[in-house]
Amino acid sequence: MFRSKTPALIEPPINGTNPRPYAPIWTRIITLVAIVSAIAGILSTLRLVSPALLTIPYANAVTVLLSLLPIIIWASLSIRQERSVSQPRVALLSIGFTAFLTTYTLVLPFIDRIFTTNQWLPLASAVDRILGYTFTVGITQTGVVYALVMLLAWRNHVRYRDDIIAYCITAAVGYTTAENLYFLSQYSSLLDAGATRFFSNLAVSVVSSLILSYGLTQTRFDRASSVIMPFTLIISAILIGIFTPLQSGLTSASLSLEPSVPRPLLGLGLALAIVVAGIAITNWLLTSAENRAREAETVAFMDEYS
Amino acid sequence: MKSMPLLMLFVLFSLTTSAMVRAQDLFDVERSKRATVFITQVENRGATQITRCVGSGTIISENGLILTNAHHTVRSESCPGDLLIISMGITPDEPPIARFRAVVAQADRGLDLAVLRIASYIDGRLINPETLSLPFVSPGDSTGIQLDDTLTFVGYPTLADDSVVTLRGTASSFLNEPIPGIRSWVKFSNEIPGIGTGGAIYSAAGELVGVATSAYRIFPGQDASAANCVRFQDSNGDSLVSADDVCIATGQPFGTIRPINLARSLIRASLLGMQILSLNQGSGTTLTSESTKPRITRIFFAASLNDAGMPSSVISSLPVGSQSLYLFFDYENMTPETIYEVKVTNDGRPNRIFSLEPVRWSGGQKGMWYIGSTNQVWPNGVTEFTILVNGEIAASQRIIIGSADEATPIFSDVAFGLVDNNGNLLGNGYILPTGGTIASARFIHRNMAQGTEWTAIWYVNGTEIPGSRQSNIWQGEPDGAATTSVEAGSALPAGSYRLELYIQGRLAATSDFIIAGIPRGAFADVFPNPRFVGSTSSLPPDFTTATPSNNYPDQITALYALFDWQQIAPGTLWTLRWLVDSDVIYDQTSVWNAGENGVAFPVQLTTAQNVPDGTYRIEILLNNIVFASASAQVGIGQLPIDLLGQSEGVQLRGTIIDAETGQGVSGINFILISQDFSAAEYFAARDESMIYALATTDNNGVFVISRPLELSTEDNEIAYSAVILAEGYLPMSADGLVVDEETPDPIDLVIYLTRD
Amino acid sequence: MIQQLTSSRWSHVFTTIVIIAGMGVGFFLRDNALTEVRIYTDIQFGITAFYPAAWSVSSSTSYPFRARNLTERGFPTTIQITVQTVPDTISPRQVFDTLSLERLQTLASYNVISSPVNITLPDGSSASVVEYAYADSEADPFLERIPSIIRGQDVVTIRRGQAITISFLSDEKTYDANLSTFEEFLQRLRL
Repeated sequence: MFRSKTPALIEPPINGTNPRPYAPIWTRIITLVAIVSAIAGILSTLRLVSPALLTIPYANAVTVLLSLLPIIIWASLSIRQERSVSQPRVALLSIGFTAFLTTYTLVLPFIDRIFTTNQWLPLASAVDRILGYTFTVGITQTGVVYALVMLLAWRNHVRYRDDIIAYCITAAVGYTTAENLYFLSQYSSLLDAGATRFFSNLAVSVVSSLILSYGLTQTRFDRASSVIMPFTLIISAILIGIFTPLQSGLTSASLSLEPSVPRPLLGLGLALAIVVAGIAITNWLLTSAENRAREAETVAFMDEYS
Repeated sequence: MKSMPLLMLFVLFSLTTSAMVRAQDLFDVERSKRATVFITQVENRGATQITRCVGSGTIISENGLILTNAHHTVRSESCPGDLLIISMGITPDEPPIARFRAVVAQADRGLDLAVLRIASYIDGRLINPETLSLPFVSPGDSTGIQLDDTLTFVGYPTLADDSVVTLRGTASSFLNEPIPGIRSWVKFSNEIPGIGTGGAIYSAAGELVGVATSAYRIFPGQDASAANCVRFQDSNGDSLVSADDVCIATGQPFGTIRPINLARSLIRASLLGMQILSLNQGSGTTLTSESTKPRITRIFFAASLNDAGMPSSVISSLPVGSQSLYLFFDYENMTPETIYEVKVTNDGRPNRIFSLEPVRWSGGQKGMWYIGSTNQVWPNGVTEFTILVNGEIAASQRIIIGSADEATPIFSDVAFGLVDNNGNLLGNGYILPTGGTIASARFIHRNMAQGTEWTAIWYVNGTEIPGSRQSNIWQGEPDGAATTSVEAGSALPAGSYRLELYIQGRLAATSDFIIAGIPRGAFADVFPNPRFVGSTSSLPPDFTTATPSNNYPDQITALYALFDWQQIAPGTLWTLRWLVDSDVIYDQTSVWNAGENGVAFPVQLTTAQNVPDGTYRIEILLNNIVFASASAQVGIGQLPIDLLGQSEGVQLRGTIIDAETGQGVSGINFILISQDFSAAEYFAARDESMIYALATTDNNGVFVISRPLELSTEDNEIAYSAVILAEGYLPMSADGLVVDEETPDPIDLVIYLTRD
Repeated sequence: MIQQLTSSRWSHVFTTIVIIAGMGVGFFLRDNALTEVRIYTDIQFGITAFYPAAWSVSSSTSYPFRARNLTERGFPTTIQITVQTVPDTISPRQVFDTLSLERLQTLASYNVISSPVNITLPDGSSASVVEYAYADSEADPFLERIPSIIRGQDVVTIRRGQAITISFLSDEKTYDANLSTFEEFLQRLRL
């Protein structure tokens, strides 16, 4: 889908431009997270400072727009960046679209009706909730991202490490958008609460996908042990399993005879902390792995040359 | 020093203001509004129901007792409906919506007070009263009302179009009548809408102290606009709402209040679920037919009353600053459905303070009546009293207030008795035993110049006793006491007697007395052998063979009070009073209709279940004097403590909101755990015996805990726990929920539920 | 390269296994949570019942056992056992009639929707089943709630001079979903 206008030749690096033939991925992720978190933060602050400002016409339509924001931002950034490189990631759209459709029509109804998480998980004990969310929502979500990348990109479209990250994040964004819309199809939501929920969904999806993509890159490029991939998938699922109850627990108001209100900023802070930490750690892991691989290649090349 | 008066004024103002603020703080307007109901009496006509009478009422117990008037609830000729519909607003600011059906638990048609009991939902389903938890106000004490005290009316102003209104005013006067006696009425300075009859009157401290009472009725051939007639239903099935349809009297603005203490016996009997019924078919007031028109005669004024409610003397003027004035009159053919009204004018200007708006007649069928007040300054000028009966002027009389205090000859303070050999008057003053041939009256005289012509006329049962008229010339001292007597050839018969004393052809004093009973010294024994008989069956025992006792086990289903009677003339007013543990639960004055002599007059006390433990007492009175009494103990001889206990504490309600949507969540259970358990213990056991109260949210997420939360004190700390468990939401729980004196009542919680 | 491909293949195999196994654990946890039961024993009436662990249990003078799902939104699904001493000659039909007369007084739009059907309880004894429905409306006049249709089922068995009525009540919308809970309850009930 993404067509390059330039010939497939590596251009000489110009100051400040991408020396590689593929589009960078980290800035795109950071931009996406920054925009969505900023919107959620502004709306949540407005709720505390001046709730009247959030009473706007067509609020429901705006909330739907907010739910679509991750995929809109991701798509616009991707189109712009992939068009400007010689080797665009052509499977991005198909993965994103398939992730969205599959999640909305199959995965979420499956979680809702087969796992019936709403019936038993919110009322379970803390440990049961973490385990429950890990082995229902977590494992399903990471499984879907993994399956989509494996089915639609693994064989033909993965050339570099960043490709895996890009496809995983795209699948995660598609999943998140479907999750947001699925929620809105069942419940209405206030602007700020919706924005917070959408950002939280995005944050946990992005981080779990980054962890997953680390496992995939290790499997694909670093001859890692065959248990690394399932291990990272489990870690991804556990992250979702921990984050979901922790976030709702932090946000929840307390019950007392005194007035008590929810604390959306705490939830927002947690999501932001997780996404920042997640991006930093996975970036370091992936960059280190790439550097190690490059050094190994250089050593191998030098050995071969000598 | 110059600023001292200013400083004192400031301090005084501050104290007054703070006292007013405190009083306002005590008056929970919202609670009183929520306890207010709209009552509709409807008549079933096949498939249609026709509204017949309307009014307001107040819930006085959480299980659905409602205090209101009798005239628009008890079935009568003017209100022939057979179904009472109770409506209330969902919020205090909304017009009422029909919710329940009620039945009359207790009523006194003369006092125009009734206590209703909610019996079923509007669709006819029966209600277990114990499951009801309605907002209520406890009856207060009306004896504390003083002139010019701030009072607040709470009731419905229109025929179901508006929400509850509150009107502030003051107690502008107290009016006295023979029945129920002192403070029969409190006058309210503000105008209460006619439809607000039955509504509540609160003191500044928020106590329920009265019932707004006025009875309008549409009489055939009279202008219906006087009763503010409203037609809104096609009652005759002609597909038109026209003048041929049933008209509902919504009344004119009024200011008459029945003090709450007059309703105490009705409320207590209702709370105990007791019914008292005279089984003697001849007893009670006989209703006269409408063709027999009520009459008011012999209308005169008196400056004061004596203990028996008789005029001290007859006057035609009062000096400046007079604080007591009574209008006396004779009445006949009156019934509890009779509407009577007293209009007072001063120099032609209406005087609302001392006027009585249309009310139900609270006296008997025939006798002497008074209305007036004490300890209130009457304005100078020509004061005219006009009595209206059933909307028509029946009599009027004028008196001049503010005239010079002239030394006119006066007779006053007539008392009756038997004169002993030393000339002393024996007896209680107004009840004489039969058997004597002479009845004597002692009276006070003042300013009686020698040679003044005076006359004494004696009557029995409204007829002048032949030969009793004594026209005399005054020979004695100007001031002092004198005696006059009537002597018959044979024993004076039992009956109602009257003495009229005239000075120079002017009625100067008058008083009634009763001759009844067998002599016991100078006193009369009218109701001998009062006793109790208990029954374990639903059928009355054979009173002729039943053995009386003053001690019964706690399994009896009915208690009968019996007494014999001797030498009491039909038509005599008598009072029957029941007390339980010294508290009056029944007090009814009626006309004696059971013949002159008899045995075993039965009065039955029943309850829904067994007669509760307690000490029961019956008193039979004539002219407010107890002539017979008896007591009996049932069970341990004391009412169970919780039987009359009204639940007290803080009401808890709230709204459960979805934190994400900002909207109320329906169908969520709010579980309040009793003080003995924690939320964790409930989570672990899921045992409902740990639950203090359970409430479910409505469509708007609103819930109301039915049981009030007990107040925690230093000696007895009560800490509740609460749990909210709902699928899809994070559970919420809290321990150590304590309510104390400082806690607002009701507690309004806003709870945000978070989705996982 | 071959080793890398082999490693990659095994990795995907393991991952797939982990996903499937993880979801299996999820199902296990779900079933464990939803089918967990507690035991209730009443020596006086000889009742041993297994009821859902998340439900709240109670007993009173009018019923020896009642379990309700108070976590459910709206009308809580209820299983209740009542015991009434009856003459030996009484039939389940007469018990149903008595129940119907009582309910007509207190339940709105009460309607029996099936004739008594004879069934055999797990312990081999015979019982009769009747289904009915009524409208459950808000008792508090200050709350606004649209009445909900409640569907119920009475299982009546007469033994040892006692009419034992096992009632199941649920909102009409969730009746079918909750019926399996009642059937499970009946299977395990010891009277």
